[in-house]
Amino acid sequence: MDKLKHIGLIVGMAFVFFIFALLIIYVEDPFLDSKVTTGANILMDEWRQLFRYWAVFGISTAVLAALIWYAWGQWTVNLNDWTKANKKRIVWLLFLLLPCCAFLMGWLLTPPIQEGAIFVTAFYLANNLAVYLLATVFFSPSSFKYTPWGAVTLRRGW
Amino acid sequence: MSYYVIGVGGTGAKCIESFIHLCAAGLMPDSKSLFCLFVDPDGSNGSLKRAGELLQTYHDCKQLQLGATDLFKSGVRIAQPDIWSPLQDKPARLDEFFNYNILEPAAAHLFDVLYSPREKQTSLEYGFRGHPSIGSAVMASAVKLGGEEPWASLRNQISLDVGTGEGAKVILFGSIFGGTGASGVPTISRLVSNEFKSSKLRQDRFKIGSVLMLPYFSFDPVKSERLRVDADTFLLSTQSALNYYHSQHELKVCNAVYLLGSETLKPMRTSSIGGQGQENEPHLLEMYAALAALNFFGQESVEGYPLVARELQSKTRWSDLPYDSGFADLKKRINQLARFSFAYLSSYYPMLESINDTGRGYRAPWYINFFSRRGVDLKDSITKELKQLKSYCESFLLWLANIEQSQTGDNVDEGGHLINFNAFATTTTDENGKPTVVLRDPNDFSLSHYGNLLLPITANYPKGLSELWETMSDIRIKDPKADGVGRFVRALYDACGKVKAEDS
Repeated sequence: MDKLKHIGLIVGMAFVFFIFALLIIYVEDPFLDSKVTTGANILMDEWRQLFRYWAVFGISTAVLAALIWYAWGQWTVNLNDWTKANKKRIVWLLFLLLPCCAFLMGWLLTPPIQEGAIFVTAFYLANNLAVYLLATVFFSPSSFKYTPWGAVTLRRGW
Repeated sequence: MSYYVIGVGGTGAKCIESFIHLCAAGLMPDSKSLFCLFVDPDGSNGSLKRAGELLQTYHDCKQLQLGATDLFKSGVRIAQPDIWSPLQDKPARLDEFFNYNILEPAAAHLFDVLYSPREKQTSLEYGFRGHPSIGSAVMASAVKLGGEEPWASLRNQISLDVGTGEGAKVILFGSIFGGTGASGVPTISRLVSNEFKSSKLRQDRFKIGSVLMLPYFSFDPVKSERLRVDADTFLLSTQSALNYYHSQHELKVCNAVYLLGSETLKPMRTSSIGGQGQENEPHLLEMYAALAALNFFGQESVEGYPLVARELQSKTRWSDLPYDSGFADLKKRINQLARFSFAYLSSYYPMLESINDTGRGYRAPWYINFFSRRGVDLKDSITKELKQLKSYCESFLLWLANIEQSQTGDNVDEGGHLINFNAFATTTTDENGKPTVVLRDPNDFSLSHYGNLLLPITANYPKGLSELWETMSDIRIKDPKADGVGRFVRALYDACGKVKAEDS
């Protein structure tokens, strides 16, 4: 029963990743095609490929951070002592360490463009933030299910 | 079937204390309510006071809307007044009680033959001083079933139960090596029985039993008192009482009589003739007494002379304890309540206090599920229901620790008998240098022993409390009758039965 619960929650995180991967490929990428103007040194198709790469890298890092949070909260923390129940800082620290770094990497390593940079930045940031938040808000370990910001309001029923 | 429990004297009160704890663990045969009454001429007796407070705490906890669960399964009706004294509003000296000065000469001479001047003149404020001859006379004269409360209510209630076909079972607890129990149990048994066994129909619907405690503890004599209970005469007093009961058929009115004793007398911490100072610590034999009452309540009729004894002379094991559905069931329920109390005191109550003080309820998912989302006012309940429950849990764990200590004594190296009480209690010495068991501060509970509160320990569950937290975070209670704080308490109790632990 416990195993099924863990599998269910981890699959939930994978599902969030999958949805955002599809969003990047089928919504954001075509959208940027009409908004972005690349420089002379790179073709639009090459730039879009790099965008997809760094966007997917960003959400992969975000879901990895969520998985690390899950594994750490579920199998490492010993809650025999109730005073150790506050792990809010860990959630934010993981977010700052991984999804934010991934955002910075994508932002810095994607070739510069002449127009539409604001959309690219917004997508990188929103994707990483949303994947990490959704994965942790809905699929955190039971003992910390309401620790992520917004989980008290959003996570219901499991 | 309705159940009535009468504790006579300090030992009777202590037996009721054990009985209440077993009721809290859901060991009664059904959830029918229980009528409790204490009989003691010394209303300030420390043991009586402790049992009375426990009964009130149980009653308060029973108000929680827990739904269908074993926890606090039996309802309780506390007699009003809960403690009846045969000397209430009456002179507290035997000669004054019987108006010796105005007795006719023949009666006065008979009185002189029966009682020594010291017996006649000593204050009975603190009980009958181990003299059943005094107690019998006072009890027989004072107990009037049709008269004052609580006897009138007791009689009316039993009449109603017997009349409607519900049936009533009454059990009396008392010692026969002292004064109050030895005189009160047979006298009250006879008076109550005479009232309800007059017809065949009533005999079928009314049963009465007695649990008589033979010597099992001792204490230092109170030297300042001339007329006093003396532990050295316990065996002699017991022999006399048993001979008397036998020759006079005093206990023939009872459907069942349970006699319990111990070959070694456990020295009690305090020596006092009565009052608040007479607060004796719980003893394993009182748990046996409570189990005897459960046997009486659970059986249609008790036949013959059932005997129980422990298997090993030097050790009491769970398998030695008699319980109708088997010792494993008894152990499981005690274990569940012990874990519940342990977890509540060490983790859940402190967390609720912390949330009440500083907020940040997200730290405890069970708080969000059972309090926040269901609109249960924590501020209000922390001073009422949750505090009452804390009080009960403390009483239960302290009782368990004392039960173990009554067997282990100071020989903790022996490995213990029934309860791993070091996880939550410790033995210290009081101001008189006598060993006393006290509950540890919940911060000092040995949290890794949550899954090993009962003995013997066959496997370790060092993360049991952590697993309980996780279970509590997900648990759902489908019982619509569980509501408010009761829903949370029910969830915690159920979760304590689910998490893997010794004998779960």
